[in-house]
Amino acid sequence: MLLTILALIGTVLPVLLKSFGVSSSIDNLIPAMLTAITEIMAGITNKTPVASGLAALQTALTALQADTSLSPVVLGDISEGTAALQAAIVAYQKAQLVTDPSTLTPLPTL
Amino acid sequence: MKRIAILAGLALALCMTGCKAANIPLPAGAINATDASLNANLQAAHAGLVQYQADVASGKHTPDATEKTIVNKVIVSLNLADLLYCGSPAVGSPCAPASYHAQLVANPAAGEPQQLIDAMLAVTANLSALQTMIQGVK
Repeated sequence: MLLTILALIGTVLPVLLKSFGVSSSIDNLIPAMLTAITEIMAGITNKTPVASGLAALQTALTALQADTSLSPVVLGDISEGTAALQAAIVAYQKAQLVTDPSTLTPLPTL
Repeated sequence: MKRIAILAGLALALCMTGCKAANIPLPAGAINATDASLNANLQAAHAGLVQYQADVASGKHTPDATEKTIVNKVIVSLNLADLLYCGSPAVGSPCAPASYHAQLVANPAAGEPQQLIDAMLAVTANLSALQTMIQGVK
């Protein structure tokens, strides 16, 4: 399954970031973000801390947010998408310490 | 293009529903590795969706009808998986007696019911649909 995840990252993330614009900073940040996400996924799989990966991802996002060639709308989308991923990772890590399925309450549909 | 980042993040979050547990000590409260893995994967999917819903509720993101339909399918399938896995009436309460987790508590050797396996497969299938949408958005 990890291979599937990494394949998804490898195909989706560069495409979406490349599509954001022609800024040279994008080219530099893509490998950084891929490395960070790969580290996070490896951490999840191996049950090792992913804090450094998250920090690297946050650093890359901060750099993206400083890129004036990106529109505020795109930057907002990047932030929101990563927030969902980060929330999932934090929950996954928390679940490595304690199994409490009672917190899985039904989610409302949109 | 507008929704790719959000959907990519959500899809990656949900991807973790397929992650397998490594050979390390079980979390407190887990009956066995399958139990721990199911809980962790469902928790991760929940957290990703909760964050997504918070962004929608706050107006940070406005999904179109297609996106709503696909995400709702993910939510419905996830809710079913949750119900079959635990189905607790409230946070902190024991799981429903017929749930898989409750059966494991009573019998740690209990096998994973086909209904739960099917529910998890449905989550994966709906995730695939979400991924397809991500790659189709320009």
